[in-house]
Amino acid sequence: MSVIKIDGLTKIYNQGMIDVAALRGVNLVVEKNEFVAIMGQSGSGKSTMLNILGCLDRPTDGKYELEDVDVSQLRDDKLADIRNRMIGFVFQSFNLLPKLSAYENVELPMIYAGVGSVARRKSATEALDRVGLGDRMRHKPNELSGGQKQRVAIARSLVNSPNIILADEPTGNLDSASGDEIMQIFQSLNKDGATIVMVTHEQDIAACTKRTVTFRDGLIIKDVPVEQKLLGGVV
Amino acid sequence: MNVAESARSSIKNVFANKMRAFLTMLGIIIGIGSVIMIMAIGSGSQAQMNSQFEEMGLGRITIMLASYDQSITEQDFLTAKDYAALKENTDVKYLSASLNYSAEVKLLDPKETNRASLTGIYGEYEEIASPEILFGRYIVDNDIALKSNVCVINNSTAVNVFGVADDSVIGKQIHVPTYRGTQKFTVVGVLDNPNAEMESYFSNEAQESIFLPITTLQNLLGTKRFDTMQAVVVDPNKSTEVATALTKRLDILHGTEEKYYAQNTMSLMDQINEMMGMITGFISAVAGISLVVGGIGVMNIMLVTVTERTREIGVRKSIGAKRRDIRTQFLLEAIILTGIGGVLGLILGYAGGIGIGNLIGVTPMITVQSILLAVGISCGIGILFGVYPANKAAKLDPIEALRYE
Repeated sequence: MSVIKIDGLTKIYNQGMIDVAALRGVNLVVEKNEFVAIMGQSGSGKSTMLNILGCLDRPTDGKYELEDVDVSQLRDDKLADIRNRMIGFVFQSFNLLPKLSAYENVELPMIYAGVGSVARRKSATEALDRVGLGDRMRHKPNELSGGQKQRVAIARSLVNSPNIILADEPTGNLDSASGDEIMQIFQSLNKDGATIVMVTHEQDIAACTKRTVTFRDGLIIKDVPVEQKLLGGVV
Repeated sequence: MNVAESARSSIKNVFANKMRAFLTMLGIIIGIGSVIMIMAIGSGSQAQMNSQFEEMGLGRITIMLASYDQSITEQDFLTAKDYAALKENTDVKYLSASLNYSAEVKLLDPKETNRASLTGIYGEYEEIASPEILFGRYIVDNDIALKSNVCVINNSTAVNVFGVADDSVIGKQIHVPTYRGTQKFTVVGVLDNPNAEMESYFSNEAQESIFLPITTLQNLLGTKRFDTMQAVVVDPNKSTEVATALTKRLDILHGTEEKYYAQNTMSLMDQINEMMGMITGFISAVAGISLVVGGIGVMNIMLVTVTERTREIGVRKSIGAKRRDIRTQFLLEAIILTGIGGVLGLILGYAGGIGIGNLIGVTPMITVQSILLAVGISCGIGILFGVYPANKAAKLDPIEALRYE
């Protein structure tokens, strides 16, 4: 059973008089426990791809099955539910809520899922421990370093036990040491069974994954397995 | 997301910017405050007036001719026959009639006189006007039957005529010069005049009050008629029906149609209450316009808030917030703003009511209804003016919202 199965996916943006095709018939299958890097230059369609994979956007045409369920034309609230329970997001700019503490940020997806407060405390604490921030739970985002913020974001993406983690240039705003820390966490999560799809344009980062899919002009031009470079400390 | 979680998060957001929250509330505070103040003063003065009516006595009816134009004939006037007829009505507890005559009375110095109002009455007038008898007795049925030359006077009149107001006055005679010569009436009782001070305050030559048996005065004036009749009904709540029954009875007796008019304190009170209610309502409505202005202020700030927090909305949506969750959050923020504004306005309005009430001598009254109304209206304004910004937030596209800088 594939986690993601995409068939002839097309996305056309209507910009005034002219239609711009961001994706033109993409086929892709991602199996459970894969670790995929999506590469490509800006404008190649990789971000559009990630938005559709993340159910933030709908394709113009084609089929997208997430865990064998066709989600390509679902209603807004249904998509919100899928984002909440099946998908974990990690953004380049972290996207933490600045007024909430690390703990509260991590708790938020569970609040929307209707999880009770006792279960929330347990899961949020576990997730923050998992990313090594068990001692920073009460800190606000502006009291944390970039790497720490991204670790909070990863913890937030984990709490509802998603089927897939989607990351959009997760190391893009970080120095290389912090970037390595983040990649270590992803590798470790993948080792424990997580399925991860990550957009990046850095070769080094892509080298830490198991498979590289390269986009150009809305099509996949290369899809190769990678000799994964395991970072130190991943156990 | 359940309501309790939303409310917690909304309260946090509202108090994150206290100054802005307060300024936004201010419109609601002033609006609710002025409405509550007016309503408190309005119901306070209404209650005061009602208690004055109750002091005057509810269930009192005064019957008179509806008009004194040319259509009135000699037979239409009220007489002792009518008195006897109305007395048969079992709903009537006390009945009297009165006849007024303006004359003069000789004072302590026999060369001086003072204006006096002579009022002819039945003995039951005591129960209707309920004066306090200081010395002696009131007019009794026997006086009426014998047309005796007796009178009851006010204590202020006693002082003016005899120099003192004590029981030594009883049995003395007062002298009233009339066109039929000077009449002498023996004083049988002295009444308290609670208005004496006020009367002397308003005119330096206060009118003397002299109450006579009505038959005595009729005899003196050579007439059989009354000016008015007064009744107290058994059940004050039935005043209006009894008043109608009495005037109908009179019309039948005299063979007339709607010639008689009955004024009763109960319906007078109802009319005044209705009028007061209308005035209070109208002024409150005018003050309520400021609530609309306050509501627009709330809407304005909520729209600014939604724009400022576009990115937050994007983040919340990306991690699974549904439209309903976002809408509830912003709507609750608006309701919390206006709700707190309403409660503060309530307090301010009541305080203002006490302040103004002190100046004009009214005790402001705050009713449960006005509290519920204030809180209800302010929350309603939150919903009314919060729905549009909340919907705008709920409908934001997650990708667009996430990109917003």
